[in-house]
Amino acid sequence: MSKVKKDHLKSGTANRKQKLKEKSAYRSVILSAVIGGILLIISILLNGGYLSLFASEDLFLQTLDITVKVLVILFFFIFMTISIGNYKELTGKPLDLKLIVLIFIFSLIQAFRDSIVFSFSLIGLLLIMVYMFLVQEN
Amino acid sequence: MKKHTTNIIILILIAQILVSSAFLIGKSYGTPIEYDVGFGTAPVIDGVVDGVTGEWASAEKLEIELFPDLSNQSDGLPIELWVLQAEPNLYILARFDLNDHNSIEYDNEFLGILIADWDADLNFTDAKIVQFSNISTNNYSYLDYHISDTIYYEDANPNGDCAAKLEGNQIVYEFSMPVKNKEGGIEDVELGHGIPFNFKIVFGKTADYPSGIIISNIFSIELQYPPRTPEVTFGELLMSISTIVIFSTIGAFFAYYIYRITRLKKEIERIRS
Repeated sequence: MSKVKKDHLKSGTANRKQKLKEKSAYRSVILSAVIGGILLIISILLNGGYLSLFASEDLFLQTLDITVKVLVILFFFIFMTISIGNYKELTGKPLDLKLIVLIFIFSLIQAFRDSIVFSFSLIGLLLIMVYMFLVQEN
Repeated sequence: MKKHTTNIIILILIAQILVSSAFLIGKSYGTPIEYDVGFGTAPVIDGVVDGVTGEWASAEKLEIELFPDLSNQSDGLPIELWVLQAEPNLYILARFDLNDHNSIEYDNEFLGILIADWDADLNFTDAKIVQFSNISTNNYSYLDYHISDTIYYEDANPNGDCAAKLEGNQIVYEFSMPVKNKEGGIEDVELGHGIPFNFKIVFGKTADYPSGIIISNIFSIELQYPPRTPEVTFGELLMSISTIVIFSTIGAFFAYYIYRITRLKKEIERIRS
C-alpha cells in the first residue's frame, strides 16, 4: 500500500516537474519571440536604411553604427533560434539543420545593404553556429 | 637648468608664431580665392545693370583686385565681380572705374576671362574676351579663343555671349558662357557642377594676347547643382525595392511563426491525446 503511494508520489512529482519544464519552455518561446520581434523592428529601421543612428563622418561613430547593426542581427539570430528550438521541443520534434539554415539566411540577408555589416554579421553568425554545434556535440 | 628651460620655451613660441603666420597669407599666386555660385534668374547681356528688374540681385558679389604681378599683390585695380548661374549658363559681370576712361589710351581696352579645366590647375586653355575697337563709340567684339602653349587660337565655333558699356569712367563687362557644353569640343572648357574651376580675369589696353595683358587675378568657382529634386538612380530604386521585399518576407515569416505560437497550446494537447 505504502509502495503504491510512494510510486504515485514519485510520478506526481515527475509530472509536476515535466509541467513546470513545459511551462518554462512555453514562456521562453513567447519571450524569445517577442525579443526577436523587437530586434527585427530595430533591424528594419537600421539595416533597412530608414533610420540612421549617427550621420557623422567620424570614424568612431561609424564603427559604433556598424557594431550596433551587427549586434542587432546576431541577437535576432540567437533569440529566434532559442524560441524556435523550444517550440520544436514542445511539439516533440528536434530543431533540424534546415530550420537553422533558414534562420541563418533570414538573419544574414538583413545586412544586404552594407557590405561591412554583412561581412561582420556573416563571421558572427558562423561563430555562433560553430559554438552551437560544439555545445550539441558535448 | 631653469634658464635653459625658459630659452627652449621662448624658442618654441617663436617657431610656433612663425609657422602660424604662414597660414595667415591668404592671397598668393597659385591659391585662387574660392567661391560657391548658386542660381538665379538669367540677366540680359547688354552691358547695363538694370536696377529696376534686379537682374543681378541673386549674383554672388565679390570684390577682387587685378595686379600687374600676381606674386607681388600690391597696387591693384579694384573691381566688382558678380557671378551667377541660370540654366544653362554661367554669367559673370565685371565693373570698375578708371581715370580718363574716355581717353584714347583705352580705345583698344579689353577684358578677358580665361578658364582652366577642373583637373588642369592653373593651365588656362579657354579664353572669352571682350575687345574694344573704339571705346568712345562703344564698338567692341566678342572673341572666343582656345589657348595652346600661350598662343591664342580663335575658336571655329564660338560659344557664349558678351556685352560692355562705358558710362562716365565706369565700365561694365557682362559675359555668359554655357555650362555642361559638350558641343564646344576641345576648343572650350566644359564647365560642370560640383567641381571647382579656376578662372583668370585679365585686362589690357592693346589687342594683343597674352602680351597685351597688363593686370590680372585668379579666382576659383564651384558651380552648385541646379535646385531640383535629386534624381533616383536605378541602383537606388533597386535597393529600395529589395529592402521592402526582403524585410516584408522576413516579417511575413515572423508573423506566421507568431500565429503558430498562438496555436502551440492546442497542438501540445493534441500531441498528448
